[in-house]
Amino acid sequence: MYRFEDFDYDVVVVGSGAGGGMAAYELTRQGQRVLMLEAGRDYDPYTETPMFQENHQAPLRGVRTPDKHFGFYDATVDGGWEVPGEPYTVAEGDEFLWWRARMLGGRTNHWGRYSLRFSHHDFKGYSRDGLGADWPMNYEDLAPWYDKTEKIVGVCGNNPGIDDVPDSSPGVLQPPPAARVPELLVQAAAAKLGIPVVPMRRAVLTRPIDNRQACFYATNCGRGCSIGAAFQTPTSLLPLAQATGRLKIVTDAMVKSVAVDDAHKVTGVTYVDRATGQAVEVAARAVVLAASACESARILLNSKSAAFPRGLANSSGQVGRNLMDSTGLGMSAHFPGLEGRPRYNEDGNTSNHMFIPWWGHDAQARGELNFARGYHFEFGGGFQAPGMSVGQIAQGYGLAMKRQLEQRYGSYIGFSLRGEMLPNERCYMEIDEQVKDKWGIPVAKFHWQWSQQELNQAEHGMDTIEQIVEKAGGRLLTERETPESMLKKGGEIIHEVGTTRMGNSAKTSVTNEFGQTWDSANLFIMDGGVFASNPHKNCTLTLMTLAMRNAEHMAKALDRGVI
Amino acid sequence: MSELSRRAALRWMTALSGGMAISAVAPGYADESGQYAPWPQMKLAPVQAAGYGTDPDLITPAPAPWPRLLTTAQRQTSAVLADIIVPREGQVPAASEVGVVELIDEWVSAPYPQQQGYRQSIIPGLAWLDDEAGLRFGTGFVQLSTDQQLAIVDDIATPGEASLSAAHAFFVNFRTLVVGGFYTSPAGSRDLGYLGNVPIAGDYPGPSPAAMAHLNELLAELKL
Repeated sequence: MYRFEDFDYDVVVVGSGAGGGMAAYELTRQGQRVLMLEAGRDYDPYTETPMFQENHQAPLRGVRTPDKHFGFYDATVDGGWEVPGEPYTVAEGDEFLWWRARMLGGRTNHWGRYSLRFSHHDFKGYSRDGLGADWPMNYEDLAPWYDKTEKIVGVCGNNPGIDDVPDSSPGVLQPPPAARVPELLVQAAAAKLGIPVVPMRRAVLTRPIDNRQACFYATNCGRGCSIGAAFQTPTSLLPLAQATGRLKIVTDAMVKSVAVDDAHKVTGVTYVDRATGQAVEVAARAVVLAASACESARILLNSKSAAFPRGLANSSGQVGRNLMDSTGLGMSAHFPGLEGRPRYNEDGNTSNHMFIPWWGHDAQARGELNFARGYHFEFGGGFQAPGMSVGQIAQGYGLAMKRQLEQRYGSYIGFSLRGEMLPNERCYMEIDEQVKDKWGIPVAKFHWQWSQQELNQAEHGMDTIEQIVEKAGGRLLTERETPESMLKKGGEIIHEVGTTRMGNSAKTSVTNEFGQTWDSANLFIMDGGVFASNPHKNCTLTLMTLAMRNAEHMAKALDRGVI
Repeated sequence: MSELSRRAALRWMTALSGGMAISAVAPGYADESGQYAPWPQMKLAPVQAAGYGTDPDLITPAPAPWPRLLTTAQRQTSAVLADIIVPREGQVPAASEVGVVELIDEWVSAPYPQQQGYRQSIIPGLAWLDDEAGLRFGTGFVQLSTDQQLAIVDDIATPGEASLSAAHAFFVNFRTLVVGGFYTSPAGSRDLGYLGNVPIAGDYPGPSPAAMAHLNELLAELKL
């Protein structure tokens, strides 16, 4: 058993991303002492973020490569769809992609920062349509925690008075940035169809908080943010937690298993020190897993013992099951009316200022739609920094070609559907006993098939895009194909959740409403794994909200000596 | 929009969502008419060099680490063709003046699959230009007069005869790199009218009055 000479702690938190960062923030705030284990390397956004660097300064003008899957400047370190030396497998005939990062802050360093609250519709889907599972709490239970989370994270947006976008309390949200021309065009066209277009909520500061500055409207958030405007844990929750003196972070610590005693109490974790390759055991009074939905499930399934031969916290058999991603598809259109328009700086916060929330709850309630759950559209285009792709719309050559490219610049808009999928029997992960990663840890194996629900939803989404584009005087460029071929692959939207779902019963769920595992009272899960369903609204804000609420619950239980 | 531009735009959207689409034709095609130079049959060994890795320095990016593979002659031909595609225009530089030839060399020498796909089109394409120049005018492409060069370029710049399909695909791929390389350069980016990547103090101001006036006209026209 390894002991840190300089640091005593109560809780081990595995992972430093959205869930782990919030867990450490709240636990230390509540007086607990926390040892955080992060699989990746130390990472400092203040000194490592390429702010203002341009494509011409990067190899291959910054395009995506097998080394950097989202382009040269993307923040992700040693990761992407593949992590060197750490494979995963996919069942024959299935397709699934698993995005990982190996860095302090995990995937919060490059995420889209979309921060939409779930609504009362989202927590009680099963009660409404008999599909999937309800959440073991109501919207009202989480609403005050959403306020607290939005405040500390820093979310810009407004309260549009739409039931799919629940109000934040007064003074919580920061002002949203002004809409840009392509967004205003889509807003006007969608209005004719009765479809709302409202400010997107993003975890990007428009007012400074703590020692984080407000956005200065340059540099894509996917690179990370050296001024702290775009939320990521290494510039926000982690330094706040460290300032208490009660957090110690160990990087390059790849956790492989959690130990449990005869009384089913968790006693510590084992990690591989990536620098030495040696296994290190550390003790803990309590453990928080926040390694990401699939990584935490992998740790549990790899933590086999006499008491739990099917893996820790898996008495229900639900660990790894109910794997969900968001549905996703993209279609693009050209708008002749936007050609040759006056130039201005259209970078904005480098992402969507507006979006289309789900407007079909009533139609679903009336039984008018052939799918049960909603979706939203993210859309954007305009005068973005030119990339190599601009060469692909060229025709001919010479000055005539240049005039046409100038005319067309800023006249394209891309629409992305992000929808709720339902859990199904054919979407799950398990351990592939045949394959180990370079640390000797058995790897995850994925199974994935869409159900008719998602296919019907995709069809409806494509119909809607076509209608909006037509109203706005545009012409669709994407050849419409079947929903099967239009839908992005499982995992590709990087919203994987559900693998350790919460519920009201130890028979059908892995944790209770506080992320506390039914099997071991001092083991908590605080990543997206606990989601009982996967509403269309991007999982990060809600998993942080749950982590804050659950960490407070956990701290109090530790104080009372209950766990 | 013409069918051609529709396809061109689709390639662009493909690029936005994933990577760079490559125009390709069935390998091994040989001209049977004898009117044009046959497509060179070249066996190009795969590039084995290492990439820049999964954790490169993003603040001061190092030059791409792989060796450059273009010969001096290939670079000269590339420069001439690049400047036909993006010529100098007053104070606005031509493609070869903003590092496009260096980019093409970096691109076709890269170890990544997509870039190697371009290599399979561009290296034979540069050879074909010389073959065609020799067949028509008895000398290399670089040595031709501008009118002679344009006569060849005009034949491959748009889809035409089947016997030129590989040469046309080469031209499209080459143009993609030239145009992308030019507009990602500081001079090209300015020329296109990109005004971003500058810090703004205070709130984002949104559209300019002129941009709003243009939009309002459009909305009226569309009865929105």
